Amino acid sequence: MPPLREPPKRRRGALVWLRTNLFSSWGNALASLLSMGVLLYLGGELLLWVLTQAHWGPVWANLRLFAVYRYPPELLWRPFAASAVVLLLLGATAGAGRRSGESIAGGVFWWFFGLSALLTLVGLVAWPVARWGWLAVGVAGLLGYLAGRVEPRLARALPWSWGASLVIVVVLLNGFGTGGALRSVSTKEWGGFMLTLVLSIVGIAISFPLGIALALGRRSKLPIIRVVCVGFIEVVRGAPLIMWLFIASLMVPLVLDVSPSAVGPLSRAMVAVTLFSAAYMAENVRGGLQAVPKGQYEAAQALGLSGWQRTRLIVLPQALRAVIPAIVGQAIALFKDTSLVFIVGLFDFFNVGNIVANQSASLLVPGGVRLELSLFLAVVYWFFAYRMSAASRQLERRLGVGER
Amino acid sequence: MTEEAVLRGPVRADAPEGGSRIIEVEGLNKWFGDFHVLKDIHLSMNRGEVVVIIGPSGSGKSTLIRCINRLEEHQEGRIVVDGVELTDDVRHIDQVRRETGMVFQQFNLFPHLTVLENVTLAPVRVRKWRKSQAEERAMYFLEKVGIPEQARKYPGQLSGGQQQRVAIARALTMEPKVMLFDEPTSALDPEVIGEVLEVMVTLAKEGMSMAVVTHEMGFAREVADRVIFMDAGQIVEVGTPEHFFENPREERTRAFLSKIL
Repeated sequence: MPPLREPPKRRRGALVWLRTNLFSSWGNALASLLSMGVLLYLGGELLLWVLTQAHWGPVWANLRLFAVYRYPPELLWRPFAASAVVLLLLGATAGAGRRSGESIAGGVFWWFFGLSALLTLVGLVAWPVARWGWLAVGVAGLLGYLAGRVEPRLARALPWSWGASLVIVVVLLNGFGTGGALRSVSTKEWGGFMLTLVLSIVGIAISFPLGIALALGRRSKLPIIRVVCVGFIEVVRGAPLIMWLFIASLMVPLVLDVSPSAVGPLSRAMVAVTLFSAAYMAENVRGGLQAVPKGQYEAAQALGLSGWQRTRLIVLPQALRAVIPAIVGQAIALFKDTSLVFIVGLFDFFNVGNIVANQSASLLVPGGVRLELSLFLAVVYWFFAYRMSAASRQLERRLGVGER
Repeated sequence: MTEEAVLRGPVRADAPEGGSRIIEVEGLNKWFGDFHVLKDIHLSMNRGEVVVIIGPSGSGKSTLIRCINRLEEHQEGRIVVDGVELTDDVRHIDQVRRETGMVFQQFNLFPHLTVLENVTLAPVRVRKWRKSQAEERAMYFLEKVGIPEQARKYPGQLSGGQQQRVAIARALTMEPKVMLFDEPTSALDPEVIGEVLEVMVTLAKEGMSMAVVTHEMGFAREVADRVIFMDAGQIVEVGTPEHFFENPREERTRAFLSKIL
């Protein structure tokens, strides 16, 4: 037998990396230098503008509008309390699940815990009303995390708690009755990033199972179900969301046979956004269903599993895993598409930007503050969208175990 | 087929008298679209019998075995498994599938479940066993096929031979009354075919009723009670393994055997 040899040593280090990747030849080196120069120049100019020339005053002065818009200022503690409940549960989930390797909940939790810390700092500097609120949200998250760490058996209560938190959040934001601290706040007063989040979370939470149902229905043996599902998917995908928002705002009261004032604009927007997204989800899921080999159905049949068991235990887990990137892509698209709800008279995060741009203080700034506002909006949208896509990559990696 | 054979009508593959029938197929006909894939199949099997079905590809042997647990629907004839006739009635189909284990050419393990989960899934969900009981039985059969140490791995981490042995354990844990094997070694590397055949031989010697579609004549010679040769959707010749090795009667049988032996 020939003697065993060590694999050849790979040289590491920043210099080696630079030489192999950027300066491996004269042409390569030239291209690297040129592009670096361009990047540095552009980046530097932008940074210079952001730090010295931009007028961030209108952004700092309107943080409350961006967060909740017209939600009554004296009731601001309610959105804070809702955020605190969610971060508390997120913390508990992250803390309790810490042992199971790379934790998806952990990544999400620390990301948003960081946000609450950042907002506390912002509160100290520019947003006095909110500094205690954000501090409380952060502390609640940390407490949840510690509770989860100390008592991992909490994990068993988490599914129920998440369900209950949904009710609590709705009660906190919406309230009930006419007087007192928990008096009802009409959804017409909701706005800002709070509205964007509510629309996105409800939209994603409903359109995902609905999309699965539609995708399964599209493959049903019963012609009537198939026709209804195909019809729905193809009709909804055939027109832009903006048109469905228009139609929903006119049609929802008509279909439900109530006076237009009984269905708030939020409900109408929710219906449109959710159904629109469900049609796309359905097509994504269908792609996954087609990727499951026929042998998997046959093996499940041969073992005597019922039709529903085959779908739930064998087909869907494999189908959904195959299309995680597409599903998360659709979720991110929905999150950003909520910016179209100005059509039905709602003032979501994006639309508050327009309002701030037209305030007299903003108009006094020579050249306006559109660019500043757009950058601010973009950074905030990115912050959330990026976290979704990062979580999806973690999920893929975890589910990929054993499939190599 | 000789003229004489044509006059004899379809060849019947009846089990020996006196046994208790586990499978009865009478006058089975099946079409894929316009293509007549199974023609007048008469076949029966006793409990504890091992029947090997051979034949060139496209002869309908896989389709025949897949009709027995209704993975394929038949258009004419009667199929009775353990006293239950296969009709459109879903309850009958479920009942037959519960009592019938199947092993596929491509293993068809569930890639998203561990080996142990693959094996315990049906006992828990279909037979409604407790999880602990199912896992105990699963480990018993995984030991029997020789890979208890792989229980926590995923199918993708195992070799082809190991995967096929898991598939056999998965079918056995349901404690079926009859096992169907659809070319269980055809997708395997030559050096691991032996380990799968060994498991099947043990099973046959323990008295399991088995219908096996295969080209492994060594396996047939060792454990088969009867061998059935099919061609072009018909049963052409039936006999003991010795009969096929020593003096097959039909020209088509001889031509086929000369290619695979």
